Amino acid sequence: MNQITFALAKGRLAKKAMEVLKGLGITCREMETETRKLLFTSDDGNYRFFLAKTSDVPTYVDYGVADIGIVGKDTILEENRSVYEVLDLGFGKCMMAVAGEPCKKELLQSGKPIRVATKYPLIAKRYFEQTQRSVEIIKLHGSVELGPIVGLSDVIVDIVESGKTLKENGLVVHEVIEPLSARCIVNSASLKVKHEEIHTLIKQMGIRLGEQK
Amino acid sequence: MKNFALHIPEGVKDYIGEEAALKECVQNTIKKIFRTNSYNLVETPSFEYLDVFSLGEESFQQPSLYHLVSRQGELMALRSDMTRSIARVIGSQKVNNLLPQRLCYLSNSFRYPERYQGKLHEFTQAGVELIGNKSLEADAEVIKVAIKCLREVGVSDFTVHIGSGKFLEYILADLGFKEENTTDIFKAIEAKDAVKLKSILKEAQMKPEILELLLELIQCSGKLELLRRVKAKTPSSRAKEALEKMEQLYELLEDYGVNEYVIFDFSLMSYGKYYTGMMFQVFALGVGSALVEGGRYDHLLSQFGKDLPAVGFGMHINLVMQRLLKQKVLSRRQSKRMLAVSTSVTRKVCQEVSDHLRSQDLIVENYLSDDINEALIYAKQVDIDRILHFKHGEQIDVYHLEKGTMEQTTINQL
Repeated sequence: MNQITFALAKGRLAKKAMEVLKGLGITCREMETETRKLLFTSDDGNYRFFLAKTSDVPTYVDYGVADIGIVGKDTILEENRSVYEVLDLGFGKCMMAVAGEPCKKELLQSGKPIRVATKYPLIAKRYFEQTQRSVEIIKLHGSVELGPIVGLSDVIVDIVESGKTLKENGLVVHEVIEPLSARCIVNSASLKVKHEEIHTLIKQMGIRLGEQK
Repeated sequence: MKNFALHIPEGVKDYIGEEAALKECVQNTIKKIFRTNSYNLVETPSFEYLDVFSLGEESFQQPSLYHLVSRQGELMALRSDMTRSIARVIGSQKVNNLLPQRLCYLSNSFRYPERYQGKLHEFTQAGVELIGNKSLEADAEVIKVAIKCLREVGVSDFTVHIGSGKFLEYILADLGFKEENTTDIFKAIEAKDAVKLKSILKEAQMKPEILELLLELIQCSGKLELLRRVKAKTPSSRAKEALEKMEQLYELLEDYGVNEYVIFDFSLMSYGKYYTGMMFQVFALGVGSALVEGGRYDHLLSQFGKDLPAVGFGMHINLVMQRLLKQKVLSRRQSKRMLAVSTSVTRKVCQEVSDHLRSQDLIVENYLSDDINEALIYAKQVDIDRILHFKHGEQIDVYHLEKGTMEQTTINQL
């Protein structure tokens, strides 16, 4: 068979994904030991894995250096790469939302210009354009909740999981943009030239995830 | 400060050395195949009115186009798609030419991708358009020409994925899908989002066996047996017809001797809005996107005022080269060069002999001094195999560097 290369978003998603693959009998002992290696080969030699920064996973898949990528829907939307989204893995569930102090509700509905702080400028821009509102977007790289607290922005667009961080900082969810979860993406040419291998694998993963539910 | 004189902008590139040689070789091979299949070369301006590229699109705004404003204030764009330029040419013809018209092109187009995606903004495409005929023979001919080009330039291990642009639309319509649902489905297809597509299908209440068939269908591809199996299961008669046509197309390709490359594909990628019938893509291992994209587009020309059916393809030369470079066919293509060394006395005869060799398509390089020892060193450095040393009178020393030999001969013997 053709060797299949995975690009995994570093961290929790990668661990979860490896668990699912383990359930299908695809194991990689190399990866379980602490090393500084970047590229791993499965025990049977049929698969290769590498861990990448989350936002780079769609890039690797777009170029076809990875056949399959495991990454959050938020990253897929923000990176806007030409990749195939084939499977909802069901884990890593959260949502993309507009949040802010409770008093900003009115502003959001007023149609006046809004200042938005976010790590996801593309998603934010697209959402406010679709809902016919004009916004000024300020790109931040972390702790986006600070934006409204210190007065940098009116609201934020960010991932909300439990809502705990928001609550502790006096912020609430005003609008839900889209539900999110981990997805499996595939390079379009790989889907064609390695069709047998990839198709079987995705199908098995789907069944496996269905059983776990 | 950045020295702009030594840089090139994002998205363009230089072709030099072996890469330039390979590109020329690939292009010449393809041009020859186009010509011998009776396709006439078309050259259109590098920029023209914006309308040519935005006609029929949802919005006047086209962020992927390279815009220009002329001195008269007219909006223009660099060519983004040769098919549209050709459609404009056809649309503006006053006399009705005999049909079909076979046209081909080999030219650069310009498109803005998303920022910093590392993709070329200027890229070379070779393609054909067969205009004014809607037979399956025309479809098959175009596919065959594409396959021939790839084979001749030396691409190995490629597959041609044939789908039907109308097939899914027919199935959905005949199953009584509402229009807004169909629109959503095509939007999900455009976004390559199978997760969303599945959820739309599941939400639209339909019989479980039909849902299963559709879900299965959007991820399968295979040979003739698959096509026949799908046809047997297909509930819609119009969709069945579309599949029957695909089967006939396969028979034609069989007669054309190129069916071994063909795979029928019902997956997401086989349903573009643009195509009205057969559509096809060519993929090869190790290249991240389709080398060739093509199909039947019977509506485009009517937007330009001529209601004519058409079928064609565009081949991405840059991707073909990417594949060839991976296959390392480069060294094989390097033809042998010769170096001609002469003195002030033998200069004239040296030029005459060199030109005679050149007229036989051999490569002869002038050495710009008369020092044979330096010439030997130079030839080794640049990998030239043979030196012709025009010593005096009629006498020539021929050095074979690879063999390490030298033989004396005369002009007449050579």
